[in-house]
Amino acid sequence: MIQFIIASTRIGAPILGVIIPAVIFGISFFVTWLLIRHFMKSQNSD
Amino acid sequence: MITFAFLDWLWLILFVALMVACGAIFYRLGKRSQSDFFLAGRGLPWWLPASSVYATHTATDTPIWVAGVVYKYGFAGLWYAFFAAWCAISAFVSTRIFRRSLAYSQAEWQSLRFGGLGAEMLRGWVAGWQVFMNMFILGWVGIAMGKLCSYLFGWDLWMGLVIFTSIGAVYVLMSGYWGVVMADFQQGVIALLVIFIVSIWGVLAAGGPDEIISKLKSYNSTCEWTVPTTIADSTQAKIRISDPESDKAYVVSTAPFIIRTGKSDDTAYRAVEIKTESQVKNSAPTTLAILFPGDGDVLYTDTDYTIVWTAGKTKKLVNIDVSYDNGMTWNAIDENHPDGQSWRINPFSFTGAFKGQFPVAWFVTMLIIALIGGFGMGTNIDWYSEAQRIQSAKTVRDASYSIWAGTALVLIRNSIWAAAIIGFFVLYPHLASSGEYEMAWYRVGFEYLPIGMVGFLFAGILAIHLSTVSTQLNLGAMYATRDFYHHYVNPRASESRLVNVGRISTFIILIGSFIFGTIIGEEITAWLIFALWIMAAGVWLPNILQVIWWRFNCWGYLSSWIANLGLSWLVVWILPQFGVIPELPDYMQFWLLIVLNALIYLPITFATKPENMDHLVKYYVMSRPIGFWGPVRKEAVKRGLI
Amino acid sequence: MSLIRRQWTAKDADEWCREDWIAIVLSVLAYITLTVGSALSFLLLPTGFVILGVGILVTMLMYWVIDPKLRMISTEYEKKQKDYLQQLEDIQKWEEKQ
Repeated sequence: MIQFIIASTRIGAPILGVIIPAVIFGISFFVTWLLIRHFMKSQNSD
Repeated sequence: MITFAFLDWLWLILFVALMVACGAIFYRLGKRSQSDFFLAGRGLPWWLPASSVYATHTATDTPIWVAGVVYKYGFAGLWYAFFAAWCAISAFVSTRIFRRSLAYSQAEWQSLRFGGLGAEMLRGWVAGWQVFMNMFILGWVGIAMGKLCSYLFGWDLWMGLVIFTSIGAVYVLMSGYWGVVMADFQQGVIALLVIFIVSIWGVLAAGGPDEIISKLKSYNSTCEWTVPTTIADSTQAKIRISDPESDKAYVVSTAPFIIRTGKSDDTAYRAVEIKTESQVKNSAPTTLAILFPGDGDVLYTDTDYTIVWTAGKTKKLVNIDVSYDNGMTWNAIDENHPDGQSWRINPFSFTGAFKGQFPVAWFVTMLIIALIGGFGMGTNIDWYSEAQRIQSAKTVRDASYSIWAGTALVLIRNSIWAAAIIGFFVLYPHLASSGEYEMAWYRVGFEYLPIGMVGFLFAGILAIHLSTVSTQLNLGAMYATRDFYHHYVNPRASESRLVNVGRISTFIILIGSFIFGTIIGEEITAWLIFALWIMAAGVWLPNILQVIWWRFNCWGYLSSWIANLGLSWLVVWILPQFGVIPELPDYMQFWLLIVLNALIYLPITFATKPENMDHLVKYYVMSRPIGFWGPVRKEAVKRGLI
Repeated sequence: MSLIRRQWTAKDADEWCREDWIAIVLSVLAYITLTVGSALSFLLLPTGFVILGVGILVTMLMYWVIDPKLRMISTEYEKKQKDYLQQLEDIQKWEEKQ
């Protein structure tokens, strides 16, 4: 694998490490909830 | 190695819990019947199978091999990933035909298309091969995860393989395909956003789009070279750059460099890399010169290096040769190699009709294989998992759109990755070994994202991984249950028995994948490319003929599979070793296998009887296939069925 | 556009015809332009945006051409699906009526 160390520069403010994951988590949670609601509802109406 | 802070662990655990819960919560739906456990009751709207197509075809190894081809070939590397475009035509042709057949799997479809003993043999063969391939693919993506975890956390390889595939198995065992497809949707959303964000970071890390374009224009030319193992110790060597048309040398090394046998130590190799990097980025030289390797440089056999020369002083394409006898004879390193680096952002940077790293002949072959393959079923290895998604769609229309949209997302995803890899190239243009630059996209994420996003990035990688392993687990179990157990062992099994057998099969495939994963070694890429590409080559045309030609019967198709097994070994390994045929580029091997295989299965097709007309008419009326079905259609019209 | 049929009968929708071939060609063009356009756009190259725009238009055109036909095929097929499913299960259980 990688045998040497690359000097790296992190880009962006550290707060992004809280905001971005939180937003994506929120989106995926919301999407999951919509999915569950949609399919549980349509199964109940069958 | 990286260490996770508390925030990283928090995001990782939350995401994993959400992904597993999303799948497991559909437990009650999944256990209702075989149709639910393997096809989600055949009632899904197009966007669900579409997201499953996209999520399944994004796995942990995908950014690795995409990075490999884009780093090496620039945007032209995108065409290596364009094989997925078989869905362009399939969405409106073979998808439609397959969905109308209602077959759970491609194996089952064989018994609808063909009849009698031959059909049953085909069904058994395809099912068995699919169970094996699913275990193999699971082992392969599992070990890719193992390697990533080893790189990130220093874990033993088996840990990443076993732990994360097992997490996926939790909701697959509980909810079957319902769990797979629901979790895929969520994982697809997460993966797409992660890919987008990390790729933006990759472009920003390189200084932004304008900086990338400007740096590519200013960098010197490069060519990868692995020093052959046959060179004697302390050999003096020279490099020559010449015009491919006239063979006239543009420049030759002013002084020789030395080749040593054995292995370079890490410090020495690192020093070479630093030197190479500075030479690529060095805009000072105004005359054409070979910048690396140069006077006094020591290179080692069986080691990868990057040859560097001044850009912009020759025609667009050059030959690169090496001499071990002070220029008396020259050995080719590469021909028709592009000069400079600006060609990397041209997706159509051809290097000649047949020569160089991106010949037109290869591109045309790829287009034909990819696009025309869409008329068939199984012309691409991905067909087998797509078939499940097609059949789970609620209508023929939904099936078509799901395949089209899912693949469109896959292609767009590749393009986003490619832009980030170009950015990575600009940062590290000197890397010679694919083992280093294949990790480009992961490195961009782990080295340039703000701290706190590392755990989230790993969660995104897990999403990518789980979506693939869940599909392979459920798909393999479907073949084992529907095509083996239900059809051959217990045709009268109840729905709950079938679901239980589905769960047992899932577990067996899980364990089988661990065994496969541990025996797949570093040679995986070469072996897998052989298995998937060449072994499928000989049956590419039969996979189309079975869809479009009524006369192609089960014996023709079965013989094409058997013949291909032998022919592919012959053409790729055995005949070149004995000098009967030269070692051919892969696209030429493809055409040769197509022809050789046809010489076997076409005579067998004509020498054996056509399929039973009643059977063919029944199939035709249900599926309405495209192509050459004249006699069958006439019979169907005569019987008043259409 | 009289070139492209918009109204379909069940019988006609089952046949392979010009609209299918047009959709196939547009589908291929869409994939190529979306691939190339996305990559170049991500590097903010103007050509990329143009090609991506073409890709989106071609996709919309493809949908416009093929959707009426696909709807008719689906609607018609749904009516027969239950019988076909029964036939499939008969074959699965070796009970197929000859």
